[in-house]
Amino acid sequence: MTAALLQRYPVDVLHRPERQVPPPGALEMPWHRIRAVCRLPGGWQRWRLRRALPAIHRLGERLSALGDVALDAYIESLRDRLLAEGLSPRLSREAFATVREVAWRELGMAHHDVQLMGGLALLEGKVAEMPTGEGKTLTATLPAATAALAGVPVHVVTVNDYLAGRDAQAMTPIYARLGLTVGVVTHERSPRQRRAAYAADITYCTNKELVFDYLRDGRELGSECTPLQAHAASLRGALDQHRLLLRGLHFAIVDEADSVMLDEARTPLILSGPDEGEPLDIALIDEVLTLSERYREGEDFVRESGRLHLTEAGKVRLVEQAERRLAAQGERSGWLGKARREWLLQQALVARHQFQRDRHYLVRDGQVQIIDEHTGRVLADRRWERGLQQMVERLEGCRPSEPNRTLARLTYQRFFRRYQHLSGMTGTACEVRGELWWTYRLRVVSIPPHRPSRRRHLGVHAFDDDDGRWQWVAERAAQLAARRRPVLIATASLADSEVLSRRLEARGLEHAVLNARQDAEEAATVARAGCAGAITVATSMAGRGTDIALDEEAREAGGLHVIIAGRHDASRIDRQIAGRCARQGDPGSVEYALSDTDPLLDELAGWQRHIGPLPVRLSRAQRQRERRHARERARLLDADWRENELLGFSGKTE
Amino acid sequence: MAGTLYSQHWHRVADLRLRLRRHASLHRHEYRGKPWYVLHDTLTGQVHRFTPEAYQVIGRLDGQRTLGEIWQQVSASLGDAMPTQQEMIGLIGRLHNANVLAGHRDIDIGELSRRQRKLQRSKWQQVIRSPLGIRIPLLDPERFVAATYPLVKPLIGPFGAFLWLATVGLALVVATLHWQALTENLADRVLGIDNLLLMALVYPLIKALHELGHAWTTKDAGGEVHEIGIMLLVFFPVPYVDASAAAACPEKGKRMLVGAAGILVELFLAALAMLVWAMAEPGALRSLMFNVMLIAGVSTLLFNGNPLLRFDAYYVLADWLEIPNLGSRANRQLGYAIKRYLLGRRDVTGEAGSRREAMWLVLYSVMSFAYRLVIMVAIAVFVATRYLFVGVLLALWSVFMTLVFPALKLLKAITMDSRLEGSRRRAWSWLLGTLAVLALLLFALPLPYATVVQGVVDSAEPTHVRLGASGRLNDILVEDGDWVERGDVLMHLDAPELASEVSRLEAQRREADLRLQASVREAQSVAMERENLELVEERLADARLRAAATLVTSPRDGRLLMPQGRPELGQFLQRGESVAVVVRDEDLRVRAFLPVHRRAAVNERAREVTLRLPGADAEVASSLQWLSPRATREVPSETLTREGGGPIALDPQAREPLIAFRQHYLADFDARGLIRQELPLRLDERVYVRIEHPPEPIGHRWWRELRRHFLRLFDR
Repeated sequence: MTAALLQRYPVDVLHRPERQVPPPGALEMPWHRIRAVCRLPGGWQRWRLRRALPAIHRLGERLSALGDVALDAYIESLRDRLLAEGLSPRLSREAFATVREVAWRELGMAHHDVQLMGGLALLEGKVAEMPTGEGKTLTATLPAATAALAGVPVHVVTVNDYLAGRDAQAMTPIYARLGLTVGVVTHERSPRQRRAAYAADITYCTNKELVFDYLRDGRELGSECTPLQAHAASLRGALDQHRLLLRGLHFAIVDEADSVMLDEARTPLILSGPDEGEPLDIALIDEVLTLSERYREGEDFVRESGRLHLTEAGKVRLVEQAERRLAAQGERSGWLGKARREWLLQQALVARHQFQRDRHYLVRDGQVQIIDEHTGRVLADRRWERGLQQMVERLEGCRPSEPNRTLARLTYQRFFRRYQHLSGMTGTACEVRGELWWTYRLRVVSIPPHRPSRRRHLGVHAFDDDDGRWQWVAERAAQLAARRRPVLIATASLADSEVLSRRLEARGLEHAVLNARQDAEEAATVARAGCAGAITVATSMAGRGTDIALDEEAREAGGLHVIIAGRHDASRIDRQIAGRCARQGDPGSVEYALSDTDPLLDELAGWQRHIGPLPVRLSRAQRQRERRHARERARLLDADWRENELLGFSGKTE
Repeated sequence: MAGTLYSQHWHRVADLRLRLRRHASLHRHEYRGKPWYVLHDTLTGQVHRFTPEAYQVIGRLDGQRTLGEIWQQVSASLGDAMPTQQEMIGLIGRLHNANVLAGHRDIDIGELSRRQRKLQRSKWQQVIRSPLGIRIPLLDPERFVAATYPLVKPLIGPFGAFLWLATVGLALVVATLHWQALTENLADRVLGIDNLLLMALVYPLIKALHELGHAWTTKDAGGEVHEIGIMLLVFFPVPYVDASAAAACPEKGKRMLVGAAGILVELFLAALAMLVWAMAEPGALRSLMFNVMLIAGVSTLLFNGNPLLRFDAYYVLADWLEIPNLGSRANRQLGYAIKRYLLGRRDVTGEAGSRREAMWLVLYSVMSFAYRLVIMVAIAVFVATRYLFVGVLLALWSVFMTLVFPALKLLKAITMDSRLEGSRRRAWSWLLGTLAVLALLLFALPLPYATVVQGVVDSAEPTHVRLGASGRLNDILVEDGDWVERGDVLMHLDAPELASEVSRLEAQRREADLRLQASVREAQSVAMERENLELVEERLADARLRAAATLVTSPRDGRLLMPQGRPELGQFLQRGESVAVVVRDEDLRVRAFLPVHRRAAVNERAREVTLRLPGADAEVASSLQWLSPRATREVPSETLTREGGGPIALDPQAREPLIAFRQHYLADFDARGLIRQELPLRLDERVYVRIEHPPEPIGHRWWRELRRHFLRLFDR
């Protein structure tokens, strides 16, 4: 451990300290790829973390002897020392012991050794890989409170509003006792509330809101991007510092780090506003959509590794069509311009062939809403890029929405690297430890479970078609529910969950559904999911962070049984869902029900799609997709830097 | 059209209001029949080329309109050729890098200093990348060039062309007339010490005129020259001049003239020198002129006249083909061709406007790479052998930069470049496939392997047929190569004086005999006469013997060979001369002179040996009989030396004759096959010996050869 664990910077909306990340040099990427492989063995790292435990426990014993008043006084003195001296290893151990004692007194939960180790890893700026159900929320309080006591603002970043709210609420007693303020930023908060939340010592927020707020601040600051310029602008009244939200990027603890930093990082975050400039030509969109109807796959366009390309024949056809229309409508129509035409047609083909209803989007209240493919949630306010959204809306018969204009754009890869200090925790990181290193310079430390897992894997059941699978799943659920075991059935898509729900209904089985369409009662559904005999059908929404608490009867009956009906895009998501059962020493079991019609198999080409046992093929397809997504992320980052280099003249960085 | 219509980053530039800075001017050019616009930065002299579509954008950069508006307008006016936002950004980025944009903000110090740092770093990188070609800028010749330009101006034009053609033509005629004198003993004269001194004096002058030629023609093309300096090419100072401003000139001919000016000036100088040389008396002036000719004529054509290197001819060629930036665009086109056709990617765009241009570019790229490789190896070897320690380091470095570094870059691109995503497997399979095929061809496919040397027919113990008498050759009874037995008559000599001597002596003997009979009563006389008779008889016997030797007979059984060739009839031959040899078949052999490095192969891995006589098709099987245990430099026969038409170079400094320059081994091969074939055999005759080894992949051989040559370079 280094002497000062956390460098401290001015905490101020105008100063806004953040790390300057220079564009990578020519040899940087190869070098970091090599370094990603050369790492210290996990055992050695754990031994290093474990070394601090006796000292914490010794301090803890002393603290448990203190009365409440004495403890408050001790907290006061600790905070003073931390503020004065900064975070040293010795003081951080003291702070950990204090937080542990406070957690015990306020919540009745003292941190386990593995949680202390996880907390230390986070404080060192690493990714702590803790098995699912090991209490990551509680772990995060250790470094968050320690850093906050030392005067470093902490952002605890989670994947969704529900988790941000829940975690903040659950942990507030600890922070309050320590004299720290907690803020929560969720989607519905107003700017004023947000400002207050970011001004708190510890802020619980979701990744999206955080980045959007950062981008909004960037818009507010405009060209005044250095602290000096910002101060000057503020003095001459050009900048209203009360409109700024963030106080710089100091320390972030990213919960579900692999999801936030990798899965969601495939698409950059785009802050958009209404486009006053160009009104959308609905007639043109309709024409293109009609034209695209006649385009045949393989003949006029081809799909190559997840992208659509027009073939030469398709291009020739387009030119003919365009000439006819141009002759009819005059030279000023939208058919003018080869690049524009091809782009329009490509968008239309994507809308028609690539996007599937209830898989990629759902229609609610006459609006097309995008479903996040990783979390299974509706992405409110998220739209596809220009034209595409309107095309899908026309295809679905909805009223086309107004086009949007990009105001700012930022990738997660670049955003999180701007933090002065970054750490993360997740249940599933070992597959992506290389990528975490070369994109975020984060090392992964595996923390062992507190108690050995009692999760039983009941194997994989393969079916030739969906019908057989749903039949079997419904039967199996009925069987287990009759034995008073709670059952969680995870489907890959919204459509699947609804099909299954109808099956269960037909059998007269009572069940709850948790998906993007029925996300209003998420908390209530989750709370009921652990009751004896409850059947819950869910998409990957019931993955990360969902804590299904078992009642006594259910625990007796053998705990939660998870049926994974269809693999997801990444094996990590499957493992997260499996991790809903057998938490913290509870019993539980997992099994897979796979079908030969799984769309994931499209990833495999030619003979690979049909040869070999289904589970093997599906895992191969899954690996293929994971690799493809990793490539997309790498390409995105690479392109981002290149563009940035090219756009040096624009003066804006986002 | 590259990429999609809309750029993700458009919002960052859409609201910028940009304008061109005042020191940038636009010119219309024509390349390959298409209009182009050339942006000339009059401050730096840099020149950038743009398409008419780009011109539509650049022309609208007035500081009033935003880029977004410009894009809309250009899209409407260009129709099908409308630019994508990505292309717009690329264009503006280029303009920005060229330092000709202003307007959106007064000065962005951070950006300016960043660019300055980048520029400096790239200069250093250039030095590190090619330590054998460092540029040192010296001065700004603009004022001198401007002042002297009016003096030179008349020469740039039809009058100059006529003058040049006339002078060079005349010089060529004179050169052919004096060809003998000109080329005789060239190497000696060029590399003499006093001559090197003269060359060192003449050289800078000629090169300065060469560069001034560029400068004046640049001026003529409307450009300015702001940098003249010295390039250290393999530690040898070569002047250079920055004539890039000439690219702004719309006339192709004038641009070509700028490129060619240096060569033209030097050739003109060479022609003048030629004329003076032809008229001058031998002496200092003549040898000076010879040097001018040499430097200005030969070196220029070898060095600057090659378009595959980036010297004068390259620029002339680029201008002639109307493909500016020929080199870099050729490389990019090659990259495109690989990506498009080998990797099957659809999202790449090429450099070429037409198929023909594409062909030109790819061809140029491949050829210039191969040529550079050759030059690089030559230079590396030269430097390494000249300046041993530093030289080897530098040579290794330049080999690294030209061979290893691109290979590493290729590897990096294949493993890391995100633009190759999706084609990575194909790229790897192409690369590994090519390497595997190469490796297979080189190291696995066995090819016939043989050592071919020259040998001579030789006999272990030859018996010479020497003449017992002098005389005129009357008749030859046998042919070369005939089998003869002991005592066989081989040839007749005609020696009339021998016959007359015999008959004179016979008469003397008769006389002595008669005298003996006549003096029978005088005992004292009888003794005397008897002695006399004995004397005469002795002389007669001797004369008879000599007369008999005019019939030349074989001294033993064997094959008769005439190494000096069949003597002509009627020729007078001296007594004691050897006219033929008689050899036994088992003594005949073919003696070859084997290079040292071939010994092991011939000794250990000889599969079969065949002999062939020059001019005969038939091949005769043979076998190795003996290999000398130690190397020698004594050549067994003159037939094998260069002088005798063979491959062996003699040591010019050797005191004794027939001493080879390098060590060799002697190898004897069985010649019985040749005899059986009834081929006309002569001693000392050349025989080609082919020693067949087991088939071996060619890579091993090359490796051995390479190692041997490399080691020999440093073996002094």
